[in-house]
Amino acid sequence: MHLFRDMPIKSKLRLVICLAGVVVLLISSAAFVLNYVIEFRQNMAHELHSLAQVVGSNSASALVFDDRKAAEQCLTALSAKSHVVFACIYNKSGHIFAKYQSGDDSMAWTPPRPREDGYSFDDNHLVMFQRILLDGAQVGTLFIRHDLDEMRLRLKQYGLLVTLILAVTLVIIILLSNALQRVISEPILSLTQTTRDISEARDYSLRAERHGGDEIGELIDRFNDMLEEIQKRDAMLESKVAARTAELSQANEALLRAKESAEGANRAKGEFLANMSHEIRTPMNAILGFAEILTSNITDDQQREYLSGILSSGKTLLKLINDILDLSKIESGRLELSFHEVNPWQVLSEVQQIFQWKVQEKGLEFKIEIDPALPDALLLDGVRLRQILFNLVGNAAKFTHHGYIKLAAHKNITSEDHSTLELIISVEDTGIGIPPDQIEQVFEAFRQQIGQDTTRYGGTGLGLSITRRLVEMMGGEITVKSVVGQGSVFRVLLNDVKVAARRLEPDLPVWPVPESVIFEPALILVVDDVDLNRSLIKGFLNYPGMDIIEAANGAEAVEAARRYQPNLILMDMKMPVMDGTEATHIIKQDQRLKQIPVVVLTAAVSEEDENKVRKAGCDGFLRKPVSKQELYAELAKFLPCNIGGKKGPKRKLAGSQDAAVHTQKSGSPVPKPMTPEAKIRLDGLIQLLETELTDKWRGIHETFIMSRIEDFARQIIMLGTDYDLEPLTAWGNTLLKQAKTFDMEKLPRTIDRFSDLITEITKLKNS
Amino acid sequence: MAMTKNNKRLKWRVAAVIWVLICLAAALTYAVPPVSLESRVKAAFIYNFAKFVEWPEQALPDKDDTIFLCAIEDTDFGQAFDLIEEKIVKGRKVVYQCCPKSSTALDTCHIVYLNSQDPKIIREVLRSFKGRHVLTVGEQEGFVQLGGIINLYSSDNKIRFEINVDAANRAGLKLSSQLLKLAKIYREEPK
Repeated sequence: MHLFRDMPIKSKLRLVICLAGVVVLLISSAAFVLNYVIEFRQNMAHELHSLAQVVGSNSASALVFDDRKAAEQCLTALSAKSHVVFACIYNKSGHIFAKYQSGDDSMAWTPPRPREDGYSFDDNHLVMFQRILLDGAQVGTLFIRHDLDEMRLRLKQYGLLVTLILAVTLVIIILLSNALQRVISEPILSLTQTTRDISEARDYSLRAERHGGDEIGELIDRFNDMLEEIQKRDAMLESKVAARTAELSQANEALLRAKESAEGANRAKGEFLANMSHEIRTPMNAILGFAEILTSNITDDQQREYLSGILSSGKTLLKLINDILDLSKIESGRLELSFHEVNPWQVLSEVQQIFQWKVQEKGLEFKIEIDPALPDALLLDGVRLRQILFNLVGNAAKFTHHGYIKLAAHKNITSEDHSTLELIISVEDTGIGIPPDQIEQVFEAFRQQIGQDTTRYGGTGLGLSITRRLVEMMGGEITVKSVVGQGSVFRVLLNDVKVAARRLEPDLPVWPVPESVIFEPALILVVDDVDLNRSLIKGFLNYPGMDIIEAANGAEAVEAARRYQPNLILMDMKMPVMDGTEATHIIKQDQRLKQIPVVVLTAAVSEEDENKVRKAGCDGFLRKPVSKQELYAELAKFLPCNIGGKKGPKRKLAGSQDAAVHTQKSGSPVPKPMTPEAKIRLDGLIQLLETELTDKWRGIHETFIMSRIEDFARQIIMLGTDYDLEPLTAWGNTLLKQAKTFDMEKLPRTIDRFSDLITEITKLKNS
Repeated sequence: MAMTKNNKRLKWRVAAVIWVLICLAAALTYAVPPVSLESRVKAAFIYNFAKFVEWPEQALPDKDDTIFLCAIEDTDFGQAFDLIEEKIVKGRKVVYQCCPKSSTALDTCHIVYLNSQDPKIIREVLRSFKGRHVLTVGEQEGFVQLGGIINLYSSDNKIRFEINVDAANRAGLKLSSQLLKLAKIYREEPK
């Protein structure tokens, strides 16, 4: 049944037509045959009956006159019919009177008792009884047995004929069904083909062809209607999609424009910042440089204090600019970290060295604690790690007024082969602390602790923000724990820090104190388009035996170099006519000049610019604004010199681990021996300090009015000079200097030291 | 008085017993007739001949005219013939008449059975029926040669018959082919 169900319609129709035809044919054939059989039998019986009548009437006289022979003779007439196999005549009393048997039927067969007139068919024979009448009275009975061989034969022939007709008809039916099924199957097949074409080509403009008005025709009409509908809908959808696409593309364009303008604005901002920083750095260079030069030239204390104020404010401004620049770089994603082998020991000791003096000055203890198993070569961005530590330690130093600052480094081995580790650096202080609700805020840009005395502590509020971003960029995290009044712990955790295979030589430069460097006589070419800058360098190099020649652009520089063969060239980058990059390139291509060291001085801030400059073939690199210390340190690399008795420039600089690990206590000035009368005088002084001056001190401590601090400081200086007490004079000078320069960083701590001063003087008296 | 009554009664009783005895005797004589099988077969044959013979119209003008069967000088035949049931041929009654050879009753006969072996008597009787539509049946060799129509004879213990077709024709009788095919046919020599 499945077979039929999955057949193609053509075959189904053919099969149905054939089946119907065959069934009808078979039924009609059967009816025909049956009819034939019945008719044949009737005819046979009828024929036999006639014969029996003849034979019967012929044998009546023989019966009557008891003439057996005559009767048998009568029966012999039946031999004309070959299918009569047996016949007999019964007399009136029912006994066989005469009988006939066809020759081929030799079988013994007992005839039945005579019966009424009639015939019947048994399996193979027709038997008939016929009364023999004479003058209306029965004189005997005739019995005839007739075989059905003839009928069989006829039937056989007939069957053969029917089969033949059946076969021929079947062929005709098949041919006819083949032709007729088309009437139904063709429209369906064509519809099917159309649907297939449509679904394959997705072309809804195709239409099925209509063949007639029957149900299939109606189906095709409906199908076409549906196609029409789909086409309409498609068209509608397409127009909708087109409209939406147009809207979208418009929106996209608008977005793109917005994005471009935003990017443009961002670029402009970046460029603005870069330019601003360049533009600010250039004059700052001059300000700081000249201030530094003046410091060594001016002897008047008042002027020195002013100068110191200029320097301090300038440096603060520079730091602020750098911080803003860093933050904008980080935020615009332009800051890229560069990982190199870094010795953590060295970095930590550097940080300690740099802050040592400041911390000591505040009277704090600087502790350093490094895990002895910490490898001395890690893959880190050394510059940014230093920046992080400077910020954290700087903050700690700023907000701690007594106690200690502890810098610690530990590690956790995270990989089995010790190839990576977790580096934990913590900075602990005993400072003012951060309230719990503001812990998170300290990391936000331009946010400072609420209530933080801006006038007292200053700062931009960017340091911690930058620190956190940098730590995050390094794949680490920074956390802080703090208790107000007790101190804070900043913990930097760097994950997956790779351990460098190579052990590093500790050759990071530590700037020597300029005064300790003694250069041998040399000729230096200073190239800069800005007069002030050249003057600044000249001021820095105002040194016996050091000759300076100047050039205002790259072209002049190359010419001057050729003419004078200087020992070293200080080259600015941005210049008219020919810039520093090109000039450096030309000099380095020149066989006679290429050995001359070229130290580039640039205000460029981006790494891209820096790389460009370095590629030009320069030997050294200095970033504006440059300090005298930096300049000397750089020159010492290339010019013959003497540093603290050691020969330069091929020298290694100090900074060993052992030196770094030990902690140092902030020392106090060694007091001079006291005379007895001085000791007596001291009592009065101490009393004065503890009463009148302490009251005054409390006043300035609370109000922080600069003019009063200055008055207080002058009074102290006077007393110090009067009693010849160096600590008192020094403290007063410091206080005065810091008040005048608005050094808000140091001033509060200096003021706090007043009580220590009294204690110190008391000790002096008692010693 | 009583005695006379009793005597009368006794007379009646004796008379009744005698009557019953007579009746019994009569019945006994009737029930067992002295008829031979041969006679009965002959009677049946002769009766059956009537069925195969057609008389001319003059002999039997009416449809229901009776066919008279006469046996000359044969008392047995009458008894044998009576044993035949339903003696009707083609709607006509067949009736037996017993008469002497010279009786006038013979004039009405349609079938005459002559049981005589004497050729003189045979010739005489046949002569008397000359020119009449009578089926003559004899039982003597030479009967047909003498001008008789059907002669009965014995063969293999069976009764057969011979027919003088010319005599039948002369008598104006039509004999059925059915009858003829069973008979031995005798034809007179042409004179």
